Order: sequence, then structure tokens, then C-alpha cells
Amino acid sequence: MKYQSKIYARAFLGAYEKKSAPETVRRFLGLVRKNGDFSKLPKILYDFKKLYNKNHGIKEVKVEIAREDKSIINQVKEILKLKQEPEVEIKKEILGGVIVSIDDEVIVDGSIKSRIDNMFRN
Amino acid sequence: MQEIINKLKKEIEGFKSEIKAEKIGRVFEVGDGVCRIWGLSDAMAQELLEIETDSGAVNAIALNLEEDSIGAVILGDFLKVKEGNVVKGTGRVLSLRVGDELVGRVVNALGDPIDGRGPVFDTVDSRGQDAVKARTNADHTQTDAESPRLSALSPRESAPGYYPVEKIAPGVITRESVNTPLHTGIKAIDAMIPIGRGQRELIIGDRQTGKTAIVIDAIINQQQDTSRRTPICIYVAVGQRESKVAKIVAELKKKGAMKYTIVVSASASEPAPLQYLAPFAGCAIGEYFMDKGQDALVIYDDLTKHASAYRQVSLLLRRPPGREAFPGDIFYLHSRLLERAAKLNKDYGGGSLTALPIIETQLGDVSAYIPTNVISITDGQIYLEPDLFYQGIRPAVNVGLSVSRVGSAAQTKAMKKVAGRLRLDLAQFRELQAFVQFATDLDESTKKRIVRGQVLTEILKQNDLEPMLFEKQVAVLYAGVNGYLDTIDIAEIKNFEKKFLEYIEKMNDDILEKIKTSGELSQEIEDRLKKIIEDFKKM
Repeated sequence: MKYQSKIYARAFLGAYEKKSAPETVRRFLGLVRKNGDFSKLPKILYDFKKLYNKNHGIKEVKVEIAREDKSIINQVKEILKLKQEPEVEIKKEILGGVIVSIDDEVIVDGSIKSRIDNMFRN
Repeated sequence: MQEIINKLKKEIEGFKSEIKAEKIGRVFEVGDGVCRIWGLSDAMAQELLEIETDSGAVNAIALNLEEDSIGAVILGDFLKVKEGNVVKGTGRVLSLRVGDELVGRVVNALGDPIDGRGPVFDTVDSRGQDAVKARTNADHTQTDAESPRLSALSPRESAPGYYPVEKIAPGVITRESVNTPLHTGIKAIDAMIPIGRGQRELIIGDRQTGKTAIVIDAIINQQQDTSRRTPICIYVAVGQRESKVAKIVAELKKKGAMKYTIVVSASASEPAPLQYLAPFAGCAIGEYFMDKGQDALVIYDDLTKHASAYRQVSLLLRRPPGREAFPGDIFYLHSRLLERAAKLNKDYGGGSLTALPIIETQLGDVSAYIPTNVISITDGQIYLEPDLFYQGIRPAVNVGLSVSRVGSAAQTKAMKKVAGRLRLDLAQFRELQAFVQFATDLDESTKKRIVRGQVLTEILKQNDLEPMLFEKQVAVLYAGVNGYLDTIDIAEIKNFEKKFLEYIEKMNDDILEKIKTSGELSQEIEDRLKKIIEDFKKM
């Protein structure tokens, strides 16, 4: 019987919620290897992350800015009512402004680069 | 210079940008022209996507919508796409900018010119403003100054000038049956396997049997057929050598046929997704002319390579393979493409779109998967045989196996009159062909039939790039089926035909004109034709 990555992720989440020990992870990996599904691991991890975040109400937020600016990050935290610190990446090529991506599904692109691109395209 | 700066300043001042939340996806797997994307949960089937790479946007089409990922084919340089690239939806399906300006041009599957003669359209229209520019391998040589022609639009808000690449074929209400001939200028075809405007006639045969030669003749002949509207011809080359396409374009130019022809080329070196799209793009261009009430002729050269390109895309997208490893929807791929050929009725403009798909068989195997599929979709087929080709019967049409299911309704009365006898004589000849070797021992009537068959076979031979006017075909075939040539040596028949046509043209030009305008072979015309043939034979 072949299992879908989603089923693995759900099962692992159940076991992990019960007992979050390295032993659980080790056993889970052993099971995946036994079933010959090691190639599915990236997908399982992706699904696990999604499920875990959903269960715990966590929003995975990534902020990309051109240079270090605490005030922008604080503003983002405030607007999105984040419990945890967002992931911050300094990306010089966006020139200015900010790009906020939420759960890798929604993006708010307020960077200078995209605005310039947009202007030239029009 | 100052003017340009001022203009730029003005534009910058007037520029407003809004920041809004967009749904995105991320590439998690990429290779060989396809990629898989996580996210983008509201993507449509066939939606145009935009992958943001480090060196600009690359377009893709969403073909597989799965539970939690999307399989997309990349239109352009897939080497630029990397894992983790952000993908945005455009909310629109792929479409092509079409217009009369395309006539005489050579374009790729996305409508970008590849003939080095600059942009196809002079202006960037309002739709073009937000058109997405697709960078393809083929247009690396093009300058950035070109107006973007690849655009996307939703099926509902179809802007004038843009046609979706995939479109539902015209319905029953809009159609009428085929009633106007499309003369190819090839005697064997126009007489026995007639093609009507709006028909789909398959040309099938092994490699090197003259499939392309037939369609090129058909294109060239359209300028001679002055009694009817000249159709716009669209030659779609799928997976062909660039040199072959260049040769065809040069030939068409030389014969003056590029004035009404468009070449859509997705050569062998272009990525499979573009080869897969090219016939649909050609069809969209044809539909533009059909909707305008004009006639269009689309040639798909060839659908075997198209099927292979689609198989590649499908297998890379991990769709389950079926017979000969083709995906399950390969039949639907070709049927929906060929179904778009139509003859619209007067209420819908009276335009038509004729399709001449080409299929290449392997060692004459017509029972392979793709040939049987396309044979069953089309309204008949022209079957070319290598044996006939090597015997010197060119075009190597096997008239016994070739059929046209609807074309006879469109045939002119004059041609019908001579073709009926022709078909019968040739069928009888085929039955007796085995006895040709012992012709001396046969009875008189059998001998006569064999001679008649040989004469007619000789008449039907024709050099390529020499399409013949319909009225001339009628005159020559009339002489053949009525036995006027039976006494002439077989080797002399070609010569006779040439001189006979010259004689008619010089001495009795009006009879050709009469056949052409009336399309009939009335008693009066027939009597005159008889007299002309007899007079000529006496000379």
C-alpha cells in the first residue's frame, strides 16, 4: 500500500503532538524508509508544516526588505497581529519598500523594484 | 532628446501604483520545459502564469491542476526558472494578437515575428498595454522595442484583435454544409478527392512521398482560382527543420503566394510546449479570418510531430501513458483542433476554415494510433504511397484508398461529369492491372480498358509547383475519359497535354472562360470541346 504524503504528514503530526521527542522523528523516518517513500520527504515536510501551522494558528510570515529597518518589521507584526517574530531577509535587489509573504500563498509586494517594473511594462 | 525626457517625466508623474495582496505559488520542481508549483490555489485550467525569475518574467501555462500542486509548461527559456521562484496567476487564458497585418509574415507559436522584418503590428493597442511579454528561445534575436503580442485575456472579455488559442468550435446553428470547392490545382485530387471550403482533409503517407508538396501546390493554386475568393492560407510547421521552413517560404515568395499566406513555425529546435501550441495558434489566426467572413486554409504539417510534442509534455507532467505512450486525451487534442474547421452560414458571415492536417506514417502503417485517430476525425484522406512514388506516379496518390466524404458536394458540375467516368475507368484498370504483362493474350475490350487506365494514370501525373487551373483540368480529363488519347503513345501523353493546352489557350480561350464562369459542361460546351480536340489531333 502506497501512502500519500498528506497521510504521512497527518500521522506524523498526530504522533508528534502526543510525544515530541527525537525518538518519534527517528521512528517516523525509519517507517518512511521501510515503505520506500524517502523521495516524498520534502512534500511530507511541506504538508506537515502546513498542518502544524493550521492546528496551532501560526502564520508563517516572511518579510523582505532592502536594508535593516526595525520599524517596518514592527509595523508588519502589528498589522498582521503576529505572535512570533517574522522571518526577515535582506534583499538589496528590491531597492526599497517591503515584500511580505504569508504562508507562501499570499504576497503583498510593495517593493520599489516591482513598481518600477510595472511602470516600464505600462 | 529633451522631448523624450519630458515625456518620461510626465509619465513618471502620472504613474500610480497600488499595492495589493496577490495569491502566489512557488516552483518546487523544474525541468525539461515543465515545472510543478505549490500554492496558487485559485488557478484556472489553461491559465497563463508568470514565473518571476532572476532575469525577468517567464510565462507558463497551467495544464495540470492537482490536489495541492500545479503542473505547468514553460513557454520560453526554462533554464532561467529555479526552484523557489515565485509564480503569479494572470487570471486569463493564453491568447494571440491577430489581424490582417499577419498576412505575409512568418511568426512563431506565440505570434512573434521570426522573419526579421520587425514588429507585426504598428501600434500597441489598449490590450497590449498590459500584455505580458513572453521571452522565448525563438525571439532572442528580436529587439526589446517590439510591441508585445502575447497577451492573456479571459474568455469573457475577449478584446478585439486578440483570439484565445484554445476555443470551443463553432456550434451546429452557426454552420452550413460544405458547398464551395477549394481547388488544389492537382488533377488527381480536384477530380477524384475534391476538397470543399470548411472541410478537413487528411494528407497521409510515409516520409518523402510528397505530402508537403501537395499542400504547397494547394497554396500556390489559390491565386489562380480567380472566380472565387482567395483564401488566406496559414501554413503551420510543427517540428520541421528550419531549413525546410525557409525553403517553403522562399518558394511561396517566388510564386507570389506569400501575399495571402501566413507561416506559423515551431521548428524542431523549439521547446515541446511551443510545438504543442503552434497548431492552435494557426487555427486561432484562421478563425480571425473566418469570423470576418473570409475563407481560410490552415495546414498542419504535421500532426504526428505535434502528437509527439504533446506526449513529451504529458509524460513530463506525469500524466498516465496509454497506447504507444501517448496520453489518454491525445484523441481529444486532435479532435478539438480539427473540429474548429467550419463553414459558417450567411447569418454568421459565411466565412470558412478549411483544415489540411498532415500525418506521417512509418512504413505505410496506417493502423498506428495517431493515423487511425486522425483518419476517423477528418472528412476523408489523401493517401500517398511510396511504391507509386518510385514508379514515377507523382503525386503518388492512391486513388483507391483516398476518399473525400463531403467534398463531392462542393465539386463543380463540369468536374463531376468528367470525374465520374475517371473514377470508374481507374477502378476497372486497377482490377486488370495484374494482367498488364500478358496484354497480347487478352481480348479486345480488356486491352482497351488497360490502355485507358494507363492513359488516365499518365494524365494524372503532375510535376510539383505546377498546379493547374480547374478549367484546364476539365478539358484535359475530358479528352482522357472520352478515349481521344487512347491511340497516342503513353510516353507522348505529357507532351500532348502540354501542346493541347497551349492550343486551347491560344486559339479557343473563350471556352476555358465559359467552363470557369458557368462551372458546367453544357451540351454546347461539350460539342465545342469535342471539335477542338478532334481539330488538334488532326494537326
